[in-house]
Amino acid sequence: MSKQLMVKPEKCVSCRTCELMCSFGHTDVFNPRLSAVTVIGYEEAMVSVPVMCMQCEEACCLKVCPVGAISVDDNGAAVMNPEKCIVCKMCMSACPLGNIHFSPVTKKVFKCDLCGGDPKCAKFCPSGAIAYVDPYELPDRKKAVAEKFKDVFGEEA
Amino acid sequence: MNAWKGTILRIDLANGVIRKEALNMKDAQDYVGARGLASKYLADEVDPLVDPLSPDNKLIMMTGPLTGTAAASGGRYEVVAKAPLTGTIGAANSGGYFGPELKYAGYDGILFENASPKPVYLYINDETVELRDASTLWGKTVFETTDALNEICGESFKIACIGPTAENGCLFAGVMNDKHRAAGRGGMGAVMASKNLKAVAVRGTGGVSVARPKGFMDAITNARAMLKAHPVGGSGLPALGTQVLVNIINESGALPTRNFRDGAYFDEADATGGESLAEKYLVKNKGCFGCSICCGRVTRVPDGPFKSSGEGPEYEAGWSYGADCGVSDLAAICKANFLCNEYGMDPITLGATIACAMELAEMGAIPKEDIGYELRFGDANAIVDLTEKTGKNEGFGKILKLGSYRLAELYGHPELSMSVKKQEMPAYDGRALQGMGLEYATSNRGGCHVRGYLTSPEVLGVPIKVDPFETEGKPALLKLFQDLTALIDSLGVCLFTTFGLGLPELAAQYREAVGSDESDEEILKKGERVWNLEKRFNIAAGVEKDSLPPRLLNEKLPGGAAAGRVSLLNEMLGEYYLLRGWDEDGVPTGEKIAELGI
Amino acid sequence: MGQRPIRNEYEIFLMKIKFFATYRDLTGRRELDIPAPSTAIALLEELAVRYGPAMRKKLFTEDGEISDDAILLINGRNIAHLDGGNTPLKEADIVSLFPMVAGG
Repeated sequence: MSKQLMVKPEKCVSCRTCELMCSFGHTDVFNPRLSAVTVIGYEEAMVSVPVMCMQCEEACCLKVCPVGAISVDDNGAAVMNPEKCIVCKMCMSACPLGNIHFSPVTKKVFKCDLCGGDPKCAKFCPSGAIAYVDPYELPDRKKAVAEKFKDVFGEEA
Repeated sequence: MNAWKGTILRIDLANGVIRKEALNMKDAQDYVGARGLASKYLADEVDPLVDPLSPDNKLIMMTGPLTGTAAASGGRYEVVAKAPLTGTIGAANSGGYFGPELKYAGYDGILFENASPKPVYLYINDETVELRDASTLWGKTVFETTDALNEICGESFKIACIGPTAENGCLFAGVMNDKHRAAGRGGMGAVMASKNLKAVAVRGTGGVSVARPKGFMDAITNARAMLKAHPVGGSGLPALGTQVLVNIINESGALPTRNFRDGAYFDEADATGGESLAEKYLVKNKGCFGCSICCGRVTRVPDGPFKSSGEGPEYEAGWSYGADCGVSDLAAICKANFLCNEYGMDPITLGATIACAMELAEMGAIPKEDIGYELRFGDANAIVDLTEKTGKNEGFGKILKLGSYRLAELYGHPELSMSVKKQEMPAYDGRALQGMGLEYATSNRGGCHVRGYLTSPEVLGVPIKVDPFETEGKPALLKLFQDLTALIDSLGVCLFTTFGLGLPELAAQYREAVGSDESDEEILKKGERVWNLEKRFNIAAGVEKDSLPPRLLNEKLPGGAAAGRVSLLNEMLGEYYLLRGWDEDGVPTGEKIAELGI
Repeated sequence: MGQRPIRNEYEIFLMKIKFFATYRDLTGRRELDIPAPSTAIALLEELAVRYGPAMRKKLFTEDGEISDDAILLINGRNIAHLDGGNTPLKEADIVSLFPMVAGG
């Protein structure tokens, strides 16, 4: 079973390391504007949110692609085949989350490919705001709720 | 071009001419970037005797080769000019997002010459660079200016600007970026104001490449993992921020109290420490660009007379407004710090200047009518009131804005300014930490803790444990720390990386980024070169000799762990000069200059 | 500093230990008054017993040495600059325990 990305905005500290590592991992250049993940910050509300492709099970990008350039790989990532892609940008319009981008540098469309199963954004995130998790593992939030029950009803150890 | 972008902007503000100039690559290799490289440009182009606030001074903003990469905590840039507070070479660096954005726009740095006839700001949108009218921004606070420029230029622009205090001649006005981040010390903002330059707004869509991507990936992966594994860089700083230092420095008997008058133990320190800040006012952490430490504090005082919100305070500001003013009300300290950010002032100098005024007022040297009320240590309302007055250039603020040395001199007691070369010493007492005393005395920008942070080995045991009371070995350790710090500042990475990384990791990142095969020692030598260049500038500028305020040399600490001690500066200074290869007056010898190729 | 030693109900003089930063979370308190153990290392051992494995892990390395993450000050002096773990303790001593923290 493939893992999935999990985003926890409450942990995000706006350092944008994910953007740096995403761009460097794919292009050998540090450029946040060539990153498939973007951190959007709201200063007044004191919150920031990493936004990225979560690899839809019913992927619009894949369905809309006229040349079949998008397929799902072994890690469950919808990946682009640059050989087939004609850069029509229909996938960009189709993605309801805005997570497919056009690079003015390479003149190509790009999206998150989970770095072949070792996503750099999660690997380098210093605060745990982006994690790459096994979907069968209990989510932290579920555990946190259970802990509260333990505190209320549990016996003193 | 790898790591460096290879282009700097030269802006002649007098006639509005903007030139894109090739970076001097020989200098870049010798002086690295940021602090070192900007200092080299300044030393080459500015007469050390220049009046810092005259058009002949230059203001340089410079990034380092690692700025904008994912090097551990590599998001910094440096602002360099001859400093109005001290008359020394001034160099202040800052994190946030501005430095990397400047590099993404395609420039290693910006060199401002002369003065504009009217208020302007510099607009940079990749290759489009324009000077634009800033008359409607003049007089506005840092937050107002930043918001206005984001409105005019676009949300994605990163802003560095000055506040109204800089325009009003405050000698410790900083250059502020991303609202809350400061190139704070020495008055770089006042120089910017003297040029009628209100702000720089930058947006860049390019990237930064490195010479050996695979090697660089390995180097940063290693450096980040080491930082994460270190108790300080990995958990201590993220959990409690820099303010956590209050208690340990206090318990060590090294927290200067009431303008250093009452020794170095503050009874109420715990109420002002990082633990209390986390418990009462911390909202969340914030990281500078690309940083894995994320020591920044987003804080909010939710109610009461000091209701406010912003970022900080950092340890030094928490001390200057706290123990140094004898104030234990953390809400007031937070509010005063927020005001400093809003008006664009260095909170270390202002807090310490208010502390100096408190001592002068208590001994009757400042008449009550000059201030408007009886000023006493411990007055929480006064630190906020006087900060606001300095910010608005009103009443007694018109004197406070000149710093403690000029204040104390005006009232007949220059010896009560707790400053070195007219810049206020920060939050460690040189009588309790002998190495820090030597550090203050020899710092190239006056009283300062980030030029060779011996507190780290003397109190925290990083990277080695040395006895704070000992003088033996301190000159050699300080020289190493000063050279390493100069290198770190020149690379464009944060000094806090030393809580986890050493020279080998820093040098490895540099080598892979620029494609060099120099040894660690050769790379450290660049730091020594920077240090000597700065020292030479200061000597030519006629800066006073290395020393400490008489209080530290003569008045014994009354209590705490270091009771009865004074700074033994004169036991260490001679050896320090010898190790530096300088003569007995602290002047670099011709031999040393030749060796370093300055 | 300078506080006088206090006594418990058996008239035994007690030593004051102040906890800071993460040690406050581990102990759930700011201070503790206990009869003085004979040495610094005996005190750390007593704290490890009292507060459990998480505390032990913070105070000692796997080899049983005092961890760098346990900065123990006796009357403001780091035991590293006194007699290390063998530094003797007296009732009137004030002891402060910090993790490795930093700032500036």
